[in-house]
Amino acid sequence: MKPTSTFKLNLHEALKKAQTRQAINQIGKTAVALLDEHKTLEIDFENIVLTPSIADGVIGALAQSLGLPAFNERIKMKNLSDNQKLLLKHVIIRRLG
Amino acid sequence: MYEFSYITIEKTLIMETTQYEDIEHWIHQLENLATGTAICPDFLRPFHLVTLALFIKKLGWTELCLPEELSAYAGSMGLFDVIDMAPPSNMKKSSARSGSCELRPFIPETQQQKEYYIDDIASNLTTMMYPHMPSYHQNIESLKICLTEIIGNSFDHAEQKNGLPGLACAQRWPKGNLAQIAVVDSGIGIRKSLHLNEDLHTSLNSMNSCELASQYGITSKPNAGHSGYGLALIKDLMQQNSGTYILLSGNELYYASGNDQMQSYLLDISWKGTLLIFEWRIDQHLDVGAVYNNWPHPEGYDETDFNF
Repeated sequence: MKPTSTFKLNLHEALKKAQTRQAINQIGKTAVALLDEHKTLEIDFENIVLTPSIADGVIGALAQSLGLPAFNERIKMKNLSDNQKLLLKHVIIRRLG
Repeated sequence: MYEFSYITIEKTLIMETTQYEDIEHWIHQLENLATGTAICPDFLRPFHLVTLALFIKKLGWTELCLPEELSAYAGSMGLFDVIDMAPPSNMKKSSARSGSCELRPFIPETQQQKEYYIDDIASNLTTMMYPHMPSYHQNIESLKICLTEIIGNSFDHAEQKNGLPGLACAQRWPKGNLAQIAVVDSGIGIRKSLHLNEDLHTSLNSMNSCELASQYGITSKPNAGHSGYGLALIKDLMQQNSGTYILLSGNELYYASGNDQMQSYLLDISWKGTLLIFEWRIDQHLDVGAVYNNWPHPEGYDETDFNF
């Protein structure tokens, strides 16, 4: 049976105790795994200092795992600033390239 | 006891930016410490302090004698705490502005502390550079992103054998409208790190590794949370601001200042590990958005491909 639920991921909370590359990559892996059980993943970027490493380790990993069409369909991102959107586009395209 | 001799240089009113020769000269002086022939500049910047602290820590020295005035300044920056030495008994009270400068060691004892340290250091140094200056929110955001990224890099690449994987130091000189942050580690260095990525071997054979590492998208570990944007972001921000970016690793140094001064150098002395210095005009823009917009736009994609 296909999952139908939405999982809400507060990135600020997830990163509070985890800022090394290793920890960031683990959040990315966990996010990818959540999509086995949930149809969509809603990621909240409120209060996030979005570094290139966080962008790549979490969002880049999701984009690489899903491909762009499925990423657009299943990943919902909220409270993104214009600057953060620009960085994410670079990271996603690079991962997909 | 390892002692600096002291030379007096007439101070100018204009705040000059750091040049690559300053770095090379200073690394020589560190090497000269052991023979008692080191010459200490009369004006210390963050890059002097981080390298001095890490150098002493690596060698396990227990005594250091600086000229009296510099000793007070270095003490106020926390140098003696970082190198586990008692400050000189005759140390004068520093005239340095409280809160405008600090030396921050990366010395977490547990993984949990390590996770907290990155944000803690980045936040504190950013606040020191722009204290009570909310109108500079763009600069504050940009600086915090840079520091979080680069301190994370240091944690990943540094060796921790000496209990001091890395150091950061920040100083602002409001009257000179200049600020400098220096981050140093004693890790494997840029060349060895980039060599882990086989795709870079050809470039490494013909290029200065610090110049290569400063380019957009260059990383030792592609697709592993190492996007290769961190150093490029700092370099581009400094150029946008007409500031200065210097990256030293081994005997390779890359210098970029403004939009037209970029040069690679091979020094006649080496630093084991990596030293990053960035220096900028406090009142000029640091705008990550403008940098992201100027990065290459990959072909085959446009705005409509994304749902955000």
